[in-house]
Amino acid sequence: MDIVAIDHLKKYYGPARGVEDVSFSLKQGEILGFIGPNGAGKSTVIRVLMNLLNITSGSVTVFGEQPSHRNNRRIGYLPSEVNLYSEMTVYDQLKYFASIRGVKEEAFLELAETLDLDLQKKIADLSLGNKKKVGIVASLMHEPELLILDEPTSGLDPLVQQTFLSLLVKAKNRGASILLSSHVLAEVEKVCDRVVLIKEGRILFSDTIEAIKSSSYKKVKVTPRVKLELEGLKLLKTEGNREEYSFKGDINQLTKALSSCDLTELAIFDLTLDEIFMHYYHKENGHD
Amino acid sequence: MELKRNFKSLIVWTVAVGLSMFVILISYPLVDDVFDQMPQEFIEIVDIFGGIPRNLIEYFAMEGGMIFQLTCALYATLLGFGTITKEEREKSTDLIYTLPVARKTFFLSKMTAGFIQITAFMLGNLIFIVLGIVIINDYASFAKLLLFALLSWVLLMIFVCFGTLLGTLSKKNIKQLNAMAIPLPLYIVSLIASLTDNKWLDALKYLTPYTFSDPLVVLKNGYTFEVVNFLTFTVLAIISFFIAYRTFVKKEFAN
Repeated sequence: MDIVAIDHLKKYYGPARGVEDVSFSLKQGEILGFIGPNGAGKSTVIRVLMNLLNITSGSVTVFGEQPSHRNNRRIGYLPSEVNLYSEMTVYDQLKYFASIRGVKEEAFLELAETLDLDLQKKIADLSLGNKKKVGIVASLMHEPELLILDEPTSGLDPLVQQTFLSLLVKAKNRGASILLSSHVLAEVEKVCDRVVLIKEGRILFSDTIEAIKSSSYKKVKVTPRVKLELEGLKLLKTEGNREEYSFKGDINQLTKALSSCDLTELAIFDLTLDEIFMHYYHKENGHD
Repeated sequence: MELKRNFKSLIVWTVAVGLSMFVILISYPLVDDVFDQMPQEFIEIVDIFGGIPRNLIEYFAMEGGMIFQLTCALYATLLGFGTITKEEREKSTDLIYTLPVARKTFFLSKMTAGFIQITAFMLGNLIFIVLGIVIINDYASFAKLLLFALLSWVLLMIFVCFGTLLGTLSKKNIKQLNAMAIPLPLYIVSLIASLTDNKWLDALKYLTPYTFSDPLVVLKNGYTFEVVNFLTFTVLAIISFFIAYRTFVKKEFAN
């Protein structure tokens, strides 16, 4: 059974588009990267899943049911902006969440210690990063079966980011499914099994990280300039005596073509996930 | 949690209003002396506004009662509005309304907390008022005072419901002070109705909930219970409560 199943979801805020046509699913024990530019509709989808928004059309199920407060017991949710009761201390705020979720104090104390969170501070006195830490503890304390995380590492320092990603892997290892919305493709690449790319309210594609990397473009740098012509090869830029190409196709054809050139330097790289997605964005915008 | 979060504001409002009433009450002996020395022409003018008070409670009806009702109504409306919109204003909806708690439970617990606060507020004020009475040692019409407190409590419940309805129907960025648009105009309407002999303008009293608990009527003049006014606004408050409930349960929380 899919933990999350979204089928042709459409959400409009009056005349304004939230999402146009979104379909994807999240499987048991999977970490799914949900990526896209600002305004693409990521947060709208997440808010629908969390029962904060109603849908215009299509269908959305979480654990096989329509989103509801009942499902939320099994979900850990971290919004992109963590706003809490400013007059409370971190401890009181977490205790409040724990009492509603029916978990013991130890559950959040341990997480707070892992993230080096000062429990006696007032929420109002916390930095953005520390508020985020409170949100992380609140989302993980009840060991949820599903984690929905919206830009979870924004505002966190690199060390805490690392700790957080290891907490995610730990959650995955105990069988949790994770929907991770992020702009940081390096972290998506690091922890996600699969990626869904959304743009202007529509899903551009969905595939496993492995498949994306194995089937995608290479970057080719040659010196001197040789004006190569080959199917799948595209000149990206020229720098002095050096040319940079992107290539998608049979690597043997590429090496054959390169062997006929008199080169002083040759380098072939895998494109990073960043570069691959930039390619997809540009392709959709008709730049390819 | 609601009670805990609103405790400070409850204390501030109770002490501020209660202390004002206390000061008005203990100033009665001074004012009574002034009334004794007033020329007849001035007494005739005072008669238009209810006449010279014969005891402390009547004096309270004239000098403190209406201000008391207005400030309490402001507090009740702001409380109703604020309780229901607080999470949106503080942008904490994302974490609070995604907890495994039904929206109706949130609504009902917020309203219960609101009603408890109003009751505590009224009791707190009553303590200040009774303290003033004890100090002056004038217990005439004391039973009327208790009736007035009871009717005022009902009035405040009505305003909590109106404030809550306004809160649920409002856009998220609307300022809490906008809730004052409910009790202030209604108070002015009741003021106009009470100051005129014109039967058309007098009919305005049916458009405001202050009528059934008018301090001058309850505490000073011969008391006649305005049943129609009371029932009208009680029913309107109940309707407001249910519309607010339905709106809140179905409300969407966007960014």
